[in-house]
Amino acid sequence: MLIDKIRDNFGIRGRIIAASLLPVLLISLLLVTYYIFSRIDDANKRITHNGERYAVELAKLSEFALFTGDTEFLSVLSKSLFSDPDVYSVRIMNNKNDVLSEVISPRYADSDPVSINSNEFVYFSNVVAGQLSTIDSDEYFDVIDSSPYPDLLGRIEVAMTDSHELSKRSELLTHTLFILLLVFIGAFLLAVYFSGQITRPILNMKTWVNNIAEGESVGSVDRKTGASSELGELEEAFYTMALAVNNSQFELQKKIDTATAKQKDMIDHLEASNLELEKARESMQSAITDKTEFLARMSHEIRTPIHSIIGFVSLIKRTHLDSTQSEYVRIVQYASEHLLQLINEILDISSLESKSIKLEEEPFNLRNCVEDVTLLMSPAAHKKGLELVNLIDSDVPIYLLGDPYYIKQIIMNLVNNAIKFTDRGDVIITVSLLDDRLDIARLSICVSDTGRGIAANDLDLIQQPFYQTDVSRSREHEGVGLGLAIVKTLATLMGGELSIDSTLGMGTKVNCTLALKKQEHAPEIQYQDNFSDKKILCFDSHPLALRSIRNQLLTWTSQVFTASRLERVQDLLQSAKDDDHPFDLLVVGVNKAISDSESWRYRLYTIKQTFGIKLLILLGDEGQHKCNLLSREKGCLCITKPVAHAYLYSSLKSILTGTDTAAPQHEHTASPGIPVVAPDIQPLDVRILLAEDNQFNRLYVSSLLRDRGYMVTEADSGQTAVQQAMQQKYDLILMDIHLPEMDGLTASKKIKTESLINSDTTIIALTADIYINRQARLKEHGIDDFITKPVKEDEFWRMVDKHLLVRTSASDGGQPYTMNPDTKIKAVNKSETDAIKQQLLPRLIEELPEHSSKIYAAFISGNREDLLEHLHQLKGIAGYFRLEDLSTAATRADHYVRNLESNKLIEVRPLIQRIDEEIQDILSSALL
Amino acid sequence: MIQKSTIILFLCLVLPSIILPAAYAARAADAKGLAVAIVVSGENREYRQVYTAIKERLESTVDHQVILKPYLSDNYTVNHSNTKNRPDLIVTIGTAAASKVAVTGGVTPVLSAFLPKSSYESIWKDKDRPVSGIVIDQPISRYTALLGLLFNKGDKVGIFNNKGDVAYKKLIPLLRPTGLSLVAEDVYGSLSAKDISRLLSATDLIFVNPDFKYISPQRAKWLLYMAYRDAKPVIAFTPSYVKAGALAAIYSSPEAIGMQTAKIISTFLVSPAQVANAIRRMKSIIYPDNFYIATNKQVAIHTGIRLPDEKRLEHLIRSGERHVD
Repeated sequence: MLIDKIRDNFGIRGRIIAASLLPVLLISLLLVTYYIFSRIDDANKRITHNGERYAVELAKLSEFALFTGDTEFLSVLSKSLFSDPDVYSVRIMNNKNDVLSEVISPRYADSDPVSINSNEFVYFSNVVAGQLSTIDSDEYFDVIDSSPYPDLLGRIEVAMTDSHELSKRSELLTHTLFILLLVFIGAFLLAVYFSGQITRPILNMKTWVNNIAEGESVGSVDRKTGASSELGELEEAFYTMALAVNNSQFELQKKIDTATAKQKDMIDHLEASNLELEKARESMQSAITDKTEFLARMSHEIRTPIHSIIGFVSLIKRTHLDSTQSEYVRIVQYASEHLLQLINEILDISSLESKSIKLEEEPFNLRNCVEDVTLLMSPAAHKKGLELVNLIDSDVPIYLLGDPYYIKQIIMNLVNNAIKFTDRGDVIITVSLLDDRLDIARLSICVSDTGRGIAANDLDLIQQPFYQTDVSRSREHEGVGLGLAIVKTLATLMGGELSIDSTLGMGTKVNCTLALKKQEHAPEIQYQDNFSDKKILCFDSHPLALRSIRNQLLTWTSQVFTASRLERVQDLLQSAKDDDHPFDLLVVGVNKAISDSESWRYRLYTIKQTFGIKLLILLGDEGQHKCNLLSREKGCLCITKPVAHAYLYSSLKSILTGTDTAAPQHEHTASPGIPVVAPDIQPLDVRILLAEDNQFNRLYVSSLLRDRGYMVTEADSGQTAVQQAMQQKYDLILMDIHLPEMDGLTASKKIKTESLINSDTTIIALTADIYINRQARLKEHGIDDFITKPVKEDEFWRMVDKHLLVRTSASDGGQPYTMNPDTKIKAVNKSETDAIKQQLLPRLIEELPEHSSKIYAAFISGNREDLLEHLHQLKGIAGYFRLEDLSTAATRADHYVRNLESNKLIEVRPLIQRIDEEIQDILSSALL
Repeated sequence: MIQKSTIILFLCLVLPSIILPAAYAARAADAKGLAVAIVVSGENREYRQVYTAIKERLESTVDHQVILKPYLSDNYTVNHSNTKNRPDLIVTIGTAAASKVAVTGGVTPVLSAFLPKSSYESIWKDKDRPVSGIVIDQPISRYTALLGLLFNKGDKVGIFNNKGDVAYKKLIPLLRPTGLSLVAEDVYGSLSAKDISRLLSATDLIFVNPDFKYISPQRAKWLLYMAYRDAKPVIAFTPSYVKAGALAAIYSSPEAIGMQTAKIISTFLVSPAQVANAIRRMKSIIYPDNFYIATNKQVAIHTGIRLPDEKRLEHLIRSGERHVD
């Protein structure tokens, strides 16, 4: 950091000086350090060498004196060493270690040994008598009493000190540093001088550049720096260039000023344009928002009366009508349902475009999704004689996380299109696994048909909203061309894509890929009965339908054999019988091709009689009436195609365990997948609790239920529903979500958690909010399923029958349940409807002021939730009695309140007043 | 008569026939020569010189009649049970060889050569074996003769004596004819400067007796130095002493002792079987016949001694010895 700071702050001159001085300083320091250390090392070596040499030489010299004991001579010898200032003392001892001489150098004699701040080195040498050859023969050594060791005379100790060297060393250091300082000062002066020579011209050039940059004149700078050689020439050339730049800059500045003035004008103009564009954009955005809001609001407003239309048209159909009236009612019903579908699609595409949809991530069963769609769409398919088959590959993970509502919608739209544009053949739903990573499964949902196909140049266009391949067809087949656009958008939101492959006249294959998370803890399927020892033969002339039913059967037993021709069926049965290992069950899929021929029933009857085998017949809607004979036979069960997995299991259980009943039923109104066999349970035994605050909806739904002979208990609030559930056991509870006092969610939760007798009763929610249906919180509150308002009768019955079936199956040992065949449709004639209205009208007149007061009270107190609740109720009442103005005012107020924050409720005052005025008008009219 | 003549004839004819073959056989045995085992103390140059001198001398004079079988003293052993291969004579060269043979034992006669007299005496003392020694020491008379030739009458001759040893007293009568007197300094332990100083101050010269055992080469150096400092001459027994600072010395070379030993061995050829007796008849200690004198002229000048030529001195001493003999 510091180096960077210095580097940034140093100019060229500073850097040149630093570049000159640093090497000099470093080299000098290195040399001085090396020199000093060499000197110190040399001095130490010299002291050591001298000490050793003195000891050795003194030993030689003192030999005779030691021999003769001449201490005086020894002292003289010792003192001779003191000419060397490093010698501190000399001590001479004889061979008995008696000190003969000990002398301290006069240089250190007066010093306290402790004060000598130095090291003392002592060197020893033994004094040995030198030999002289006096004996020629070794023989004499035997005579002489001599030792083999050298004759030790004594010892010399020379003590050396480096104190003198230390003083010399400090002196040396001082001198060296002084020289170093001189060198450094000299180098610094030279560096300053030469750096000035280099930097002055550069600084001048820098000043000129600054002047140019600031628009000043270059000529104001004194350019005589005295620099010589290249730098002088460079300075001169730069000065000339700076003058030229200065001049051109002046010219350029003039041009820039002119251009700037023009540009400024242009910018002002552009800013004005931008402001206009911004206004236009805001206006357009506002228009788009208004359009979306308008679509949403209008769709919602339209749905409410349609609810009433569809509901009561279905009731009208049950009255005695002549053929013309029946046709008119059918047209009204068809048009209403078509209109509802259009509105739903518009709502969906509107929501998708405004990106207000948030996909849920809740656990769901993919098989159920596919089967629900198949069940729902099979009547339409069978009506056109189409085979509707779903094929789910065995490796496809069933338990996934996602938004089942929209996944169903994707499949529904694709199947709906396929049925719509296919006149004969089949519609196949194939679900396969594309990629299976750790927690994500990429699935392919492919719907293929054998319809008329799509031209290649239309393949991309049909994915656009409101596009249809040709006008005539769009007229032939209802719809506004939103289905594929919705599917494409939903697929993209789910991490997938849509692709279409089609050949004119051959059919279309629409493939939708989805990326869905797998459930970490998938529920384990447990079946009460084990059919692994059962041997089943499966027949269907349609290969894919055969494959579909075979795949499902393989779930429970591996002994599944297939045949696509009846002749082959007979052969296999005969062969198995001959092998004493006969089949336990023959599952027969009856499609249009077979049901059209008259012989199949006889052949099946013959097979049954011949081989004594049990029969499970899967019929399309159109074939149900043709199996009277067979279905009366013991060991024969007819069910409607397509068959849901769970229902197939219960059917297998029924027929294989012998608990089936032979009495056939041909109730045309029976939903697909519902067995057409009579139940043992009477509908009078079925108790249903209906919680609905809107009395008209309550009346409609209860009428439907009572028509079937069910016992219906009505509740107009959540609190009442809970109280009823505490007192009476019900087989089914239908619960509106928006209820006064206690909403439907809370009431459902209380029933499931607090009621001892209804904690396991199925609760079906009734709601007009199509988005709330898919909320996981429905399940959190104990709600098992839902029905979307406006209630469509067939959908309503499918849902009710489905749950009643499950309940009775579970509680009665799997015995399938359907409606009582003896139950007659209770006609609700016009007079009865009018009577109802007449009966309700006084109550309406009574309740309207009360509604008005509640709305006002909620508005004044700022209670947004209460206000919405009362507005919602008022909408229903106004819609039922066709009080158009009141309904519009209530709907508008409801919309604004929903989109307003609580502290801004004051803004809806005009609308509240409008509602009040409408109510007053109605009451005035009534009184008149 | 007949009986007498018969007896005489018998004696004349039969006895010679019996005696002559035995004598011939004995002569034939003598013709093998003299078997001599030479035990050498080591491989030093001086031992080799002695051995070479013996061998060459015998080969040149009594060719192949003496069979020499050399041994190093360390390898020498005797098999006492094997009497057949026993040598007629054992010759030892040096003190170590003599000691080994003495310790090994046996009855074979021994001739110990080239060893100091004191060593010889200590080795063969109390040994009951035919033995004789040729020592490297010179006879005392030879030293006294030299002292007489070099110094004036009245001079005092100093000598260091091993304390308790009285052998030095033999010098006194021998010096008397030369007019020199003897001063002895008893020494026990290492020769000290005080011993030297005391003797130097009391005498005019110092004679270093080869029997004096307390003088190491180191101490000898200081003796020579102190004597030189006091300008007092030293007479010694080796040429090295002279080189180191002694005035003169009498000595015998290894070759001379080897030649003298070979000469004695060759005398045993006359009767090899009688070697033991011959040795017993010899002197126990035989001094070297041949000797040399070494002098140091520089010391002579320093000490003011008039020094005759070495050959002259040798001649005068030999002449004196022949005259005495």
